[in-house]
Amino acid sequence: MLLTNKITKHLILFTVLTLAFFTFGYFYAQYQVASSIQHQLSEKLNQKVGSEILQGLNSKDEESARLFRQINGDLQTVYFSNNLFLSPVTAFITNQTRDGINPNKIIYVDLPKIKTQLKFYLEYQIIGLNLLIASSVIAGLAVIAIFMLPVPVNQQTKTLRDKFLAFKLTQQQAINCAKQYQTLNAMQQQVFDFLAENQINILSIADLLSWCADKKEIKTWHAHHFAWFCCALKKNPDDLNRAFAIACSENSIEFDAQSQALKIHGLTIQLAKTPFLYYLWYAKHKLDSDGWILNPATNQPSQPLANSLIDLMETYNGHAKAVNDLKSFGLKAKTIDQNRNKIKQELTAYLGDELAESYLFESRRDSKTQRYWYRLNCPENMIKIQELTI
Amino acid sequence: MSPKHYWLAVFSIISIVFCGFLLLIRPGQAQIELDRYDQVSCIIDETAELPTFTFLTASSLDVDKIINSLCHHPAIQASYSKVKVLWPPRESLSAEPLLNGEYQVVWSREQNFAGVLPNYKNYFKTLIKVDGYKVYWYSHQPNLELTQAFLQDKKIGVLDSKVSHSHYILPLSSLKQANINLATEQIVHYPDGLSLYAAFRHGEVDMISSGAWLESSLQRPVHKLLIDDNAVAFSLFISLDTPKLAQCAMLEAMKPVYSVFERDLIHLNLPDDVKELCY
Repeated sequence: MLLTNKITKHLILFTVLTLAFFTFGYFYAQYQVASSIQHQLSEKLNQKVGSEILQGLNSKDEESARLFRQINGDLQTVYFSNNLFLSPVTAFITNQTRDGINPNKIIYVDLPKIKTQLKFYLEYQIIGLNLLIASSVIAGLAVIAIFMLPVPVNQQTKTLRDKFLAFKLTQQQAINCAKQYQTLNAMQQQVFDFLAENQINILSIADLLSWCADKKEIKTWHAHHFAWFCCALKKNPDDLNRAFAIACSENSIEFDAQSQALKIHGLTIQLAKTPFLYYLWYAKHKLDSDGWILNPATNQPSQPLANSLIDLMETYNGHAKAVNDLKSFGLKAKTIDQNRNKIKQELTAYLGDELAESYLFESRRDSKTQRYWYRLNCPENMIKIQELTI
Repeated sequence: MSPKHYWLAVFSIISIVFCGFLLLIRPGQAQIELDRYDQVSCIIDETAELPTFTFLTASSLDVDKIINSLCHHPAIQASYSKVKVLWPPRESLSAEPLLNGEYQVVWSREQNFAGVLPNYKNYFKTLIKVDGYKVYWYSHQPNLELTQAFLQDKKIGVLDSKVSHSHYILPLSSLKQANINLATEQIVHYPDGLSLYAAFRHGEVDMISSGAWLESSLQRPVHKLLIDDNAVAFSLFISLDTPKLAQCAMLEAMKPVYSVFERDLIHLNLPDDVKELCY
């Protein structure tokens, strides 16, 4: 593609140069013809003044008419040493007024000694075809020479080229990559840099660049998209497209009750059954009410909370032991804390502190009991629950 | 290669190639050869191995008519391949071309011709002789008289040619006889009769001397004063080896010139043998 682009550019240059040469050459030849004839006539006629041309010429008297006839006779065919581009030239004096004559085809010769100015008309054609051929051949030579020049590299491209050379590319490949790199926007460059630095081996450097260039969505990514991309890629370094899809996924948390799996921002996370159900319990609370659940007192387990959990666990096939414990002892502060911590540990381990943060819990202290209220951090519209299919 | 160097290279390539282009399309020098303009010629038959009929005259007066007449005359066509009429400065006449037979006909004054070639009669004979014509001072101003007072603020036109009778010797000697001294800038020199008459017509000079033929070429009335009523004659000399019929052709060709003289009552003398031959 780069080569086609280069050829197109040079073809345009060729056309422009040919036209420029042709136009300039056309007027240059006309100017040269006029100036050469003017110069020589001026010199040769002035030599004759005083010996062969005696009185002022005014084209009305017989003597002038004879002289004009003689001069016109001598100038009937003026040849040039190079007549490749010229038809034979005729120069003549006439007393008939001629309108619309190209000013390049009129010359004036001054004969100061007899206070006379002669006006000559020139009649000839520039052989356009020959001039066009010469223009295009010469323009062609120039364009071929320019085509052979090494590609220009500016300072920025040079720095980038050196960077790409580190990837064992040839000089030309490195330059091409550096150029393509500059067409990416800042986010695409960031993605590429990340991929290149982490030595992603699935694609060549050039293909990685093209991949970044092709994924136009990356241009509008924000920092969190990039973070998700990096996170997904760490989990599955071989699947660029999946990481891209995860980065583009909507910000949501999905509870799949059937498989008891979590899908956060498109990324599947497997939790142990009991912490999963606790997590689901908090989620359902958030959907049903304001989501806040007050921790039971350390010395007094809560039976109402336990009942609510037992219902949920029985619905979703919770561990029998966990259900029995709740039935026997109620919901202890220690149990609920342990399960929340487990959720936190798993999510943080999987997503990292930053990304996990918005899917974890927020808390506030109850001013009367000095105990803590907890609820899910994310807004309820981000929460989706896939119920059991029976 | 940095962009700066690249564009410098592009610019250099285009410049070099452009200069090459200009050299390639340059038409070069125009090949202009100008013939002599103090002569006219006509070709009768380029292929015929016949000599050229050459007439050395005094001015370009009526040369077109003369050459036209000569070229179309059967007698000339029979003996010559080309006709040439030329009028170089009168002083340039020398013996060499006369002896080489380069001229068939020469317009000159007898004394001058004899001065150049004392034994001219061995080679040339007189075809026409213009005798005793009158020379006048002409002026546009009335009360023309040869006095210092009249001439004080006048300019006089004369010929550059010091051998010209009517336009140099006679006017200057008439001033001398009348004891008139003119400042140098009052005397303007002209290279030939036509320019002299034109200068007088356009008022560049106030007075000139001339034969009566001047009057017919003037549009407005003119005042004149006789200088000499018997000016020295000039003649047409023709080479002795010119075929007889060609001599008559020459006589006929000169008609436009001597018809002017006849109108001005100038006496034309034709030698008896010429009369006998041509009439």
